[in-house]
Amino acid sequence: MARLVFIFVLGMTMMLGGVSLSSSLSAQAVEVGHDGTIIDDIMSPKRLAILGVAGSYSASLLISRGKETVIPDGVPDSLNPIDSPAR
Amino acid sequence: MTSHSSSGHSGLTRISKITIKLLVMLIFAFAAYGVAGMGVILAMYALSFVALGRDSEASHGISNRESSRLGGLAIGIIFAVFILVMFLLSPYTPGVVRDPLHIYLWSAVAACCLLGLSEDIAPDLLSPMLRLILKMGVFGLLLWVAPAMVPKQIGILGIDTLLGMPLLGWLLATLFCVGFINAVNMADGANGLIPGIVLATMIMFFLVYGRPAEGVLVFACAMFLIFNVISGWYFLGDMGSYGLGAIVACYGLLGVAQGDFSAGLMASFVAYPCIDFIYSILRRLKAGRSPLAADDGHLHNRLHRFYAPYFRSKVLPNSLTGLSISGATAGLSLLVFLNGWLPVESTLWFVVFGFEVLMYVLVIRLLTTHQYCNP
Repeated sequence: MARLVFIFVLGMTMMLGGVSLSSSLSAQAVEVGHDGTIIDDIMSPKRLAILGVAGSYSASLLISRGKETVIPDGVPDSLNPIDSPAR
Repeated sequence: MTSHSSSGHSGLTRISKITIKLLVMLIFAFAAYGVAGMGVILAMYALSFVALGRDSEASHGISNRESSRLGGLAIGIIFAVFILVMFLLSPYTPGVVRDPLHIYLWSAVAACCLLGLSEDIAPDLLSPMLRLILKMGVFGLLLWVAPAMVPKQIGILGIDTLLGMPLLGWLLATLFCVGFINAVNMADGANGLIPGIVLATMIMFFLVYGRPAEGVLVFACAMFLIFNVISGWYFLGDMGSYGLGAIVACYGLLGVAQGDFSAGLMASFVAYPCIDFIYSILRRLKAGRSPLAADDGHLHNRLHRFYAPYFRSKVLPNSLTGLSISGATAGLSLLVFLNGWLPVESTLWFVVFGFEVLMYVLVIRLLTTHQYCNP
């Protein structure tokens, strides 16, 4: 029982490492003004190790698609494209 | 807690087989989704030991080993935790929080998941009629409060006329959604069959919309597919088939209604559950039986009986059956989509759907003849 709980918690922690990296990539892309450095860096060893090939590609696609439509928190609602499909 | 059964083998062999399967799953997960993917496999592995919602051997589809019905719950946990943490860590508010339409849509999905979970944990808790009424209620209410989800036309003469009338359109769309999740539940009888179809469909949704929710669903479905196909320790269960079926039905309706893709494209991706559902009903009516009575005359049952003699393994023919069908239907559609051979809005996707119908009829006839001659 304790062994299975440990495996479950370990597994979820490893998954959260991936969530954390993809979220920080998204934040970094906003900070650097979507200059392409984050989007094009699909094959960096750190990204491949934590997110894998499909995960790294998905993160880049999400950041790329969000470039035009995602507005960070703190920006007035009037500027947010509520009905935009990429949000 | 309980252990995975494997009758006829020593404890040592069982442990080593489980370890080898786990290692193979971890390698595939790492290649696709890195450490995060390996984490999901470990979490699913731990969850598969939960005593709740277990099926004995041969009590589900074509499986012949003890497995958990909580695959849908595992996908749900992965999806919910991923989205929640991403929501907390990301510096922006996702659209689903701002857009009422998506709140209604996900509420309906959650209701379907809960309905399925109750069946997984306590089978026959709700009578089939009550379940049907509840599903009709959920989708009827969703499409009533979100009429934008009802397509005005799908490119088929006659049906377009009916869809043009608001009340009839609502009724047709409600019946379609309820029928579709029942069809998905009925077709969930082989490893990787429904997970493969849903994964291909989610990849298409993700590439069309590029939203985090679809990305996470692709991730969760891909990990479940790896786990399901290699180990056979999980079924989607009612929660998985109702929940994933509801997501595909709602996204599909909304996408067609908004003109993001054609009804033909959606039909080609989800062809197998729809064709198998209709064919099974017709087959049972022809034999003078109840149209909804369970039997083993589905294409996946027949294909499994065809594969089984060629393998010593019990899981391999089961997984090969599921992957053959999902690959030949949704996989074919994904191939056409990824290569851009047809525009997403094209009604020519109905030709792909027609080809899949033809393949289904041909293969089931061939298998029926083969199994009649070689019982």
